[in-house]
Amino acid sequence: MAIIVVPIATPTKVLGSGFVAAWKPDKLVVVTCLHIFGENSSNAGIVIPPNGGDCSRVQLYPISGSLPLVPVKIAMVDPSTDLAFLVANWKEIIDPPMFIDSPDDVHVGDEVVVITYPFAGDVSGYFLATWTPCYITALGRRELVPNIGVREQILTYQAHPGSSGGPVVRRSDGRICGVLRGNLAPPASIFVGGVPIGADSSVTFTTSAEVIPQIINHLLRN
Amino acid sequence: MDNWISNINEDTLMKELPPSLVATIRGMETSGLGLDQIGQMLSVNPALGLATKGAKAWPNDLWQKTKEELRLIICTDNPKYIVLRDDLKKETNVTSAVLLSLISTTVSSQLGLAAGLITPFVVLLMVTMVRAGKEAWCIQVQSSKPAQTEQKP
Repeated sequence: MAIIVVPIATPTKVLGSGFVAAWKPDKLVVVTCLHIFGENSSNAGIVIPPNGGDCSRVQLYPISGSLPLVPVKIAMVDPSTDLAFLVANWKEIIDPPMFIDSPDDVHVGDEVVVITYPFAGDVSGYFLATWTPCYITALGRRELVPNIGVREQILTYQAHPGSSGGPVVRRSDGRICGVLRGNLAPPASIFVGGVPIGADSSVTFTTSAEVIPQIINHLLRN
Repeated sequence: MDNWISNINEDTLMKELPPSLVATIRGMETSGLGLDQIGQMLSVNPALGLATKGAKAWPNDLWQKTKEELRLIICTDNPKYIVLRDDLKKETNVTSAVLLSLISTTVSSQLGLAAGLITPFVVLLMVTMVRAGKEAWCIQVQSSKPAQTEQKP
């Protein structure tokens, strides 16, 4: 079963990556990071690349002309976990991926794969999904206030613009264990064209994915 | 104007949020934080602590901006929300979810954001209003507005 990963974009800009998390007749649920959205994101959608979002297939580039942008509704967001749930009209049946049941299902040293669209849209016609193996180097709990926090995994992965929102897949069983958020960077980094300079650490944070099925069930019930 | 406010119910509003977020909000309240502090913290949280390459997109001041727009809708006759107020007056027997959707969509549009992004903040603000009552909430929100900085020529 392929995990379908798609760029999230407006007609003029790629915002990040996302993945198909559920399908029910005529509705597709795509999960991504909340922080990729900001002003001028009111007409965001999912881009359908020529490989259909399956990065195991050969991918064409450069792509001439524009790619189809399927409109989405931002149906539910959780600022505490930095997750956004997008719903699109979609007729074709898609097998949903499996998720870890608990943040304790993954361990330091587990091999995982990150699938994202790094630099998508930054280079004309470039929309390559990359499948990058890496390891969980730490398990984190980002504390919002004492005793209230969000479980995370920390990876040996270097995030790039366009990577946020991509799925982190446990290699041993193909279950999605995290959603990529971004990387730790030295303070006072300089931004050039929106890209932080000197911030290319390979300490990357994810939101642990066990919360996703519960939110999707809640969303589809409503 | 107040008829639609009486239709708002805290429990049904909270059902419009993801269960993970409801648990976080309840936990933060239990730890002693007020909803205003919680809204402020959640507003900066998505891009907090990381040099996420796209983090600059997220508007950290969403709580304050949403609060100000809701103040204009509920506590004033500001003309930019005249259509919304008329729509809300017509909705006499609707659920909190419908009211939430109407308000969120209109305010999102005013802020240039995708509908849905501000829903958690609108929910929290509406819950604070239900708890305090409209008049008290309006006074509270007006008094918590940041002071205007003096414009010098």
